[in-house]
Amino acid sequence: MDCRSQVGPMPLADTLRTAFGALAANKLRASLTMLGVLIGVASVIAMVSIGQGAARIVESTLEGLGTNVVFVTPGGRTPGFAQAAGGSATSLSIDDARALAQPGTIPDAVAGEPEQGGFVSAAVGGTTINVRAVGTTPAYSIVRDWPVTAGRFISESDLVAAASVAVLGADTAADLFGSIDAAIGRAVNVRVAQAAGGSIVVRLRVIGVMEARGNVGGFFNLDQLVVVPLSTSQRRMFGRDSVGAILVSAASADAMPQVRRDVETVLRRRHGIAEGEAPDFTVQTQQDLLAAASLTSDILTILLGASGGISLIVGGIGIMNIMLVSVTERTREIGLRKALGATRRDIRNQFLVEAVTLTTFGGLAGIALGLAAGLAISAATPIIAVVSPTAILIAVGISVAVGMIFGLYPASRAANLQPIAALRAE
Amino acid sequence: MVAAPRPAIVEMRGIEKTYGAERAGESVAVHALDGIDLTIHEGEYVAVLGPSGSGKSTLMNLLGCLDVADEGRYRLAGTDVAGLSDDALARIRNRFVGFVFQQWNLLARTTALANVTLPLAYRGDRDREAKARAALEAVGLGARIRHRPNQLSGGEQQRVAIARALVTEPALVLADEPTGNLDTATGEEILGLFDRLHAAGRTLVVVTHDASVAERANRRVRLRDGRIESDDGLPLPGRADAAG
Repeated sequence: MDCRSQVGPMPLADTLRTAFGALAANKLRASLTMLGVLIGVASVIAMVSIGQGAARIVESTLEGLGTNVVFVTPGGRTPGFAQAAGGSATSLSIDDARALAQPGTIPDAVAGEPEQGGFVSAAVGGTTINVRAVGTTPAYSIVRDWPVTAGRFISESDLVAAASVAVLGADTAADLFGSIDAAIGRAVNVRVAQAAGGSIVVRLRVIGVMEARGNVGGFFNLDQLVVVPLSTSQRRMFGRDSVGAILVSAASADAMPQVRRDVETVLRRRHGIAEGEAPDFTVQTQQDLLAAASLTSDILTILLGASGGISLIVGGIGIMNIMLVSVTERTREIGLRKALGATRRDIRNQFLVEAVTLTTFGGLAGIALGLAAGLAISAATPIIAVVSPTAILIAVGISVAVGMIFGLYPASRAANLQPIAALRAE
Repeated sequence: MVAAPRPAIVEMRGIEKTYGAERAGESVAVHALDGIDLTIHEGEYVAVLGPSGSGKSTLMNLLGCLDVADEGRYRLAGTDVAGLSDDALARIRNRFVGFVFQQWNLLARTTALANVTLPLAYRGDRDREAKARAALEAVGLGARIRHRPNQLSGGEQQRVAIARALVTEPALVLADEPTGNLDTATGEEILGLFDRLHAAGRTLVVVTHDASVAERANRRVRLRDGRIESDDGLPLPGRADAAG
């Protein structure tokens, strides 16, 4: 007679019920064991979403700079966002900028503008705010495709005279004067810290307010800005001639490679650097900056994710430890189940399901906690945590996998117990 | 199933079992069973007796397919169990053997009903709850199916264990000192239950060292030093026939 015909594996519903029963019997232990996986999954979710949020900010900030613009920054090959924002190298001069902006030097260029800048504090009456100051030329508005919404932008004559005038970002105007219209014609005192120590105060008249560009990516508020003529900034504010960046806008996206080559040729000639030698400046396009930024943020995301992953492994080891204790404690039960007809697979499944149940519930709670942490971080910092469904799916998958992997050894030990030895255990 | 009116449930021929044991720091081979020939027919009520160390626990383990013999042949309900894998033995136990242990071995925190359902769950029986209910009613616990072991007396727990052993309709009910942990009166109840099972035609093997328990059986097999010392069972006709 065939003894297999009526005997199959234990139905999943029974296995699940048994697992829940065993976990419910020891709630505190089950919760503490889950905690390891919970923290691991929560940190993976939180870390990855913060990393992705930071990446998105950098990307959208760079996108806000314009697509057909070549950036020249001083110093050699250290591409990165920090330098574009105003590095410390001094190898770019105002004459470099003039040469590049000279009509005809670069056939496909529309306009070029130098920038130098730093952080200053701007005061009106009792209100003082910290704000980014940029010294530049009238071309700034054209290259960045950024018009004024009230008043006018700085002019050539402002530049020649090193006039005490300023164009404010929309938020800065609102912060200092209450509204954009109220700002025009008013005076603002700008205090600039000096490299040699101390600070100087420059009184500027507001001649215009830039169109609102928005809080790009939630991180870098373009509308918190004071724009002054480059000559004013050089002589009366920052006391240095060198410029932090030169921007050249190309006529079209197709012209970008040619403009880039031309800019490089002109600057090499001016700086006396032969082809093949390392230049003392860096030419980049938005694509270069985006690529560099996304590489940085990918590495950041991987590092953050990996630190969460390590907590997951620690949590998994906790699961294994507790499951081994559980197998030892329940040796008699395992012997009895085997005597009553449980196969190795039945026993192995029972303990595996217990482990996976622990990690799955831990994982689900971890996702909730991770999301909450992401929301808290979004509320408290400029970074908007980006929770991708992929990250959640991966977290759930990893939780189940952790249960499988770390539950397998204890489950196999249980499955391999000999019934008579197990039944005799105390 | 076999066609003969009183088919053989247990057929053991030349069964030997040796354990390695430590004695005075040296490992020695212990012949727990040394050539057992035993046939038990359907409907018999057999007591296996013997002092400790006589091999009766080993015999019980082999009868229940919890362990396998080193030598000899064992057919349980017509199935040769030699050389079967652990999982195949588990299926044989589930199908043919109902165990009643001295310590009852019920799952704590689980109701009487769930305990009795367990062996049916391992065979994926869809009708298990109704069968388990019927088995509990048969041992007089129909009103206590939702009780947990710690809410039941010792005798009631042993009756749950008996219901669990019977629920699969096993060919062989194997009891190991079933009254060992019970007082005399409760033990008597359990033995009364066994008498009724015997009367209903069940094949029972009770391993005991208690002569009064053994008196209730219709056949006594005495072991000494791993051999059968005496067997008061009448040789039944057809004993040599292989069932099947």
